[in-house]
Amino acid sequence: MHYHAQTILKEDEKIIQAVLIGNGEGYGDIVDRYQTKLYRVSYYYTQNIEDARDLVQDIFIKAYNNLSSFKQGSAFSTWLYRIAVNHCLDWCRKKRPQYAEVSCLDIFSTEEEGPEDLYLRQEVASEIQAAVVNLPAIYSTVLILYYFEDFSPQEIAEITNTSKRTVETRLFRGRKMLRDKLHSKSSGGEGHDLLSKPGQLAQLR
Amino acid sequence: MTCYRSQDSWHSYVKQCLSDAERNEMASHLGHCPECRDIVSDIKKTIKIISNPDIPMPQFDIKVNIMDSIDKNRYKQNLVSVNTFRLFELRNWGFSMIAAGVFLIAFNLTSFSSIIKTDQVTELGSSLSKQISIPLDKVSQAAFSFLNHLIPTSRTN
Repeated sequence: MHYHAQTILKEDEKIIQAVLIGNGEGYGDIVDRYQTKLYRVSYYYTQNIEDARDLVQDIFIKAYNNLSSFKQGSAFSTWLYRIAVNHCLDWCRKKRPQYAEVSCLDIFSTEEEGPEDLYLRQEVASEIQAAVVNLPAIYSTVLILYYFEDFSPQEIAEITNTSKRTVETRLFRGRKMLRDKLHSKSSGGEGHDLLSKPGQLAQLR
Repeated sequence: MTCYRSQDSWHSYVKQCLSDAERNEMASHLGHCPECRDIVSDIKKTIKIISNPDIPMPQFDIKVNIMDSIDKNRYKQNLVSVNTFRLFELRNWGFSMIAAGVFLIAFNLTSFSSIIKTDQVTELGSSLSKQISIPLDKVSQAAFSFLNHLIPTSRTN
């Protein structure tokens, strides 16, 4: 795993160096390597395909135009994610529509299984994503990176330019806020703490 | 919440990105703290529920739009300006070396003056300068022509 990360780091650095000495076409390799990851992050914030696509394009163009400010020897992915997260947060501040509050989380309480499982799973994922992204930005960002994209607290600290301790605290509080939000919106009220009772949801997956 | 470690690095613990010593110490704490055990359990359950969610992927190529939008020659221009700067620096170094040579020769001449009688200084000075000035001129001319040949563009700039 560590070896794999080191390999990616070196390959990224090689491509960046080539771009910085004039091989502009080489940037396409960077786009290939990161477009899906950045699209996912953008999608969590925007919750729609078109805005996520536009954000990803803007992020890659911004990164290209600022490539000379990237410090060789540091992790390119961390630098790129930092641009992405900041860009997404800017977008949220300026353009994000006010989503309707989470309203149909009662599907969590169902224990039925059937052909509609896929649809339900997508609905559940969509509701949770909406709930996460509607939290205050400092909490939604750490939750997205930790739970959705599998980053460690140390990596999140580097991306968000904070300490690991701060990330741990935000994860702790963010998760509590998310649980309260989902709990208060679930139809059953008492006994439907979704994030601590995954059994019901697990049946939908 | 009563345990003072309830907000400790449990998220790092779950992702297994702590040092061995830290991990062992926290594992030991979990052995006798049900509150922290619940926290770790909840984090793991949450990961299981919401990690890596399915999201709709775009049906169009993002890469084409990006590559069409960027200026692919952006850093070629930088490369030219960096090289020009380096060559300009090299030319300055050439001038500096010549100036240093002249200075050293002048310094050597003055050191002769203390051991030569006053009436001999003018004669010696003029004869030495005749010997020295010719190669110096040639060196200077050669250096100029070499540098001009090396960096014709920087002169035009």
